[in-house]
Amino acid sequence: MLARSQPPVWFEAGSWDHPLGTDNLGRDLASRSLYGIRTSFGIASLGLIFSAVLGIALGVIAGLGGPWVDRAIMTVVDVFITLPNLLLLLCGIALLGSEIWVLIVMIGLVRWEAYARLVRGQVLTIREQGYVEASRALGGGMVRVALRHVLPNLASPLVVILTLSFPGVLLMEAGLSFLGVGVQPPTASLGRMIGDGRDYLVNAWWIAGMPSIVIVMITLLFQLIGDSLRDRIDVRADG
Amino acid sequence: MNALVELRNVSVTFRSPWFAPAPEVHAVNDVTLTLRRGERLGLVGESGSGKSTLGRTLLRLIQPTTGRVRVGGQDPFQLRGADLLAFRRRVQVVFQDNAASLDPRMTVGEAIREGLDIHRIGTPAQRRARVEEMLDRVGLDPAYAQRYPHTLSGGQRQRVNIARALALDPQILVADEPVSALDVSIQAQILELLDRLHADLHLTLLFISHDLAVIRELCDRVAVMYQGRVVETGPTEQVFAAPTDDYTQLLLASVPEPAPLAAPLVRAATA
Ligand SMILES: Nc1ncnc2c1ncn2[C@@H]1O[C@H](COP(=O)(O)OP(=O)(O)OP(=O)(O)O)[C@@H](O)[C@H]1O
Ligand SMILES: [Mg+2]
Repeated sequence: MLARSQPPVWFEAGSWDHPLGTDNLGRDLASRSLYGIRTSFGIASLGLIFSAVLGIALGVIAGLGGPWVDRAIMTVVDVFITLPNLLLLLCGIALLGSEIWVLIVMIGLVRWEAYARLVRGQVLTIREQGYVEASRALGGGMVRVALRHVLPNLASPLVVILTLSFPGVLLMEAGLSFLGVGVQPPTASLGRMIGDGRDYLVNAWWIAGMPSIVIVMITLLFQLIGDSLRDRIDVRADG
Repeated sequence: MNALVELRNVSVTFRSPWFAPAPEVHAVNDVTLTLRRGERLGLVGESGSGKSTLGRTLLRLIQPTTGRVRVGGQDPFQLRGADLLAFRRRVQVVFQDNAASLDPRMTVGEAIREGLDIHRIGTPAQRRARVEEMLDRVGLDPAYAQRYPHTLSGGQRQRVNIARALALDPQILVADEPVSALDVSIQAQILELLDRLHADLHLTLLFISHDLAVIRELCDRVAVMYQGRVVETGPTEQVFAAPTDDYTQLLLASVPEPAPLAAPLVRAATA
């Protein structure tokens, strides 16, 4: 016998069988949240990796490729920045369907331009450093400069930026799933769970509330990790 | 004495980007200069006179707008592939900014080995041995190979830069103000090192500086640059004793004062 809409354990009607309560269909919110984390993390990380690879590659090429290549890439970046992200996402999903790989690619496509911009700026600075000119005088080509000098010097700021932007990507997936265009039932994702609980907010707020708390905590966690990474890197830059 | 490096009517003009209405900069203007095998040529001039630009042209890092460059009879700007790599081995450089010249993410050993890696010279063991040999040559303990540049002093870093340049066994070394960023006592040590390396390795040296005293100490010949032109060349002692050019005379007369003070005077005198 399923207990429908049972509240979390710390309420009178709650029980240890379902520590975070159950939803309107009697499914355990704790285990569904764990599945949701897995789905959401998977989509967010793959989307982030996709956008980072795209953005870093294009940023490095723009920074090292000379004025024309730079202008061409940065024009595309500017166009992408002016497009509203949500519109882009919804168009992509409307055209390609709401499969998981579509979500990953579309999330990647709305994020890459920020990384491309950041990386290009850093590359333009690194390119002017004496060690790059010395490397060219030694006979090093652009590929060597990119791989041996530019990327290693970009690594630490990038790790910080990627960590700090992970929650944003997670929220993007959650937002789409909440709207019902992201992950499709019965697969659990945090956004989907919030969306499902929307109709029961008055009588059973925890159905939407528990996954929301999970999202807030994950966001906070990544923010803290990112900040401490940043502090550590700054210290190294001083030493 | 035969000319190893020949610059003939070399000009470098920096074009401003199309959207900026700033005028063109004639960084180097119709310079003719030769470097003989084994000599130490001092290039002196105030800030902005085009010394570094001329050095970079010789290094094939900046293409001259007009004029021709010959190094050992070849035009470096015509070289491609293996010939270009051979040219890179032949002409090396040490810059003024000893810290910026070293990648903060590379150990001293990796930096010195970079040229060997690029040119695929020797086995890994041979490269390691070469790094130690170079460290020894510039007066640093082999243990420094494991250290990162920021743990070294400015003088030590400049020694590493010299070691990296010389690891490829070049014939010509362009030293662009190699001691200008260092304390006076360290300056003397680095100059002494360059002097010794010049003798031991039969280097041809283009030594760029705005410091007349330094040039006088180290160089056989001197070329004076002013506003992109070479206004006087000659054996060091001759130029110092009896300068023929107005600007050189002002430069020598103003030795205790910074050289740039002379610029407005000359402009007034020639106007
Ligand atoms: N990449 C560049 N783009 C535009 N202008 C440049 C560039 N490099 C140098 N210049 C200009 O060319 C002129 C000569 O510069 P250069 O660096 O050769 O002088 P310098 O004699 O080496 O001076 P310093 O003693 O300050 O090093 C300067 O007016 C400088 O502003
Ligand atoms: Mg200079």
